Amino acid sequence: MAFRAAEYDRFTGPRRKAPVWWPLFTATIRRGWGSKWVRRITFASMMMALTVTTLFYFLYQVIPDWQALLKQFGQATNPGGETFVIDSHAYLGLLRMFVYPVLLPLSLVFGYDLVAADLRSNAFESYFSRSITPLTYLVGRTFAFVSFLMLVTYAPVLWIWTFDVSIGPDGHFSEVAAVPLGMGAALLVTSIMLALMMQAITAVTRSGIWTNLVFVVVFLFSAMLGGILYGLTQNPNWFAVNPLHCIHVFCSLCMGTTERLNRRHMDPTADPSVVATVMIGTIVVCLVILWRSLRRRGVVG
Amino acid sequence: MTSPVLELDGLIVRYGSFTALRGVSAQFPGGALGLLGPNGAGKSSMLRSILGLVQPAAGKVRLFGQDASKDPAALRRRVGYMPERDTWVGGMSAVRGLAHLAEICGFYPDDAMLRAHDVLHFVGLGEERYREVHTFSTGMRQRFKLAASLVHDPDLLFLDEPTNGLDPRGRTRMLNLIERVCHEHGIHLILASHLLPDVERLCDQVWVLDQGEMKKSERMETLTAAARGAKRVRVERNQVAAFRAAADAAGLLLAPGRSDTEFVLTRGEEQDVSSAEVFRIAAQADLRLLSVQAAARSLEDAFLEALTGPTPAPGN
Repeated sequence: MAFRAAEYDRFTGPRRKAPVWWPLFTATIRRGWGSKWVRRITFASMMMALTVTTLFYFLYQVIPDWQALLKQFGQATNPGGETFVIDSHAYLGLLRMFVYPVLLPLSLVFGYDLVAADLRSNAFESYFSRSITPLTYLVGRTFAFVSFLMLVTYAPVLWIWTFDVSIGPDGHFSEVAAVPLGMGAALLVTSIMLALMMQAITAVTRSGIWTNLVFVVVFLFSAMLGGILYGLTQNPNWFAVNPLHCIHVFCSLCMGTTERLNRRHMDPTADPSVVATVMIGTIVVCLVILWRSLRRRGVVG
Repeated sequence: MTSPVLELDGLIVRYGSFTALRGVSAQFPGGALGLLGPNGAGKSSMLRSILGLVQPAAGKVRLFGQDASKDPAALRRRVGYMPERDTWVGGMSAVRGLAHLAEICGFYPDDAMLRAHDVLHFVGLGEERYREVHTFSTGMRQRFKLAASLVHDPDLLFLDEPTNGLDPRGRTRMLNLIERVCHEHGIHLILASHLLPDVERLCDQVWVLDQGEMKKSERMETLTAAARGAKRVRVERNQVAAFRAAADAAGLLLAPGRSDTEFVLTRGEEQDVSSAEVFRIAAQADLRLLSVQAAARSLEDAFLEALTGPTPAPGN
């Protein structure tokens, strides 16, 4: 160990002008990355992307016109029906592969103790007596949380899209040009909603274990509630009380495939405008809960 | 002329219908200030006003000559605050947590980490710096909080009960650390404590707050000065009456002391009673004195006097 004099010294070095939420951003990412489950899910997400692109590569290498063959096979087996093409709807399926098994569990393991740990250790008194305000705290934590969720989900699907476009047949690009935008919008809004939901729950429960429990119960209970209310009223908009259903419909909305969604599903789905309203409402409610919690529990002195 | 470190001008702080500070005006020119007051006196409200965390209903707070309500975040970088409650950033080692706090105050990451190591060494937690703070003992947590208040090299330290829960050795060590930082490095100190000996040792100025009002703002030596030159005299039990008669004959005023064999001798306003004079009176009356000492007021006397009003002068 290097020798260090046990004496106090005034600091004479330069100070940087970075925004005050930036250290919170980096600390949040570091804290999240410290969880082995976060690393496992991130690795699984990357492996999924790699597997899909490898599959594409071999298909194009072994059967270069596999899409055309698949289309002919579909028309032969189901005349007049839908045939498989790599379009927005196919990408919606891919998107869901990253939303349900990756985004949902990742938001749980990344954020289950984010605000709760600060509440338990009274860290707000340290933060708010410095340059951090409740607003910058919220910005730093949420920005980091959402960025990480986006990195682990959007980067792989974007990689797959880039690979597909670069090795696909001529004219394929024009068919899927809007896909990155749609997937980005879907993942961004879903990530923001999940990140704020997790933080709001952890701010209320002040415990990581209870946060996990409440999160799972909210999803299960709302799914049952949506089904019961639909059964009673026959109004499909009641499904919008279920966040999973909202994510499902909102992804379709962003990918521009809501018409096909209703055609394919046996059960009707909530109106996309209702879903969008519910999601925005959830974000606003979570922000209000977080803001009140930070103001009330972050008192200095 | 340099501006005072802290200047309060008719400060009124209200929370709804409750008035926490009622027109407090005072100046702290720099050095070490003891902030005294019973619970609910308004110390926390004053701190929040200084840090720009509450908007005063009226009046102004100037810190380092700047209005605290304008750009409070920049001013807070110059203030190190050690709260009474334990506080740390969860999920990080002590050194990582301190570096994080330094980064928030504008340090580059490398500087912040180096500084965190240095400050933890300074407070004597060098060997424990990779442990998480929740595993620390009470004394270690107090020292960690001091380190956290120092890590960004503030110009003003605000310490709230820094010796709470410390054993005598830990308390002495903590006071030594604070003394070194303030006296050797010119960092101004505001110390809020219920332990008056701590304030007496460290501070050169005292503010006494009660029910949101500034009851006293004095220099320490003025507050604890001898009570108008009085002498505390103890005599043998069988000579009490004779001493009383001799003192009366010499024109001195007697007030009862802490026991029935002790007196406080005074001679009206602003006139000292010298030890030599007391010995001379005793010698003339052929009396034996057990002790003679200055009847100095402690800070506790001054504090209680500020809260309850002036106590009767000895001898009156």
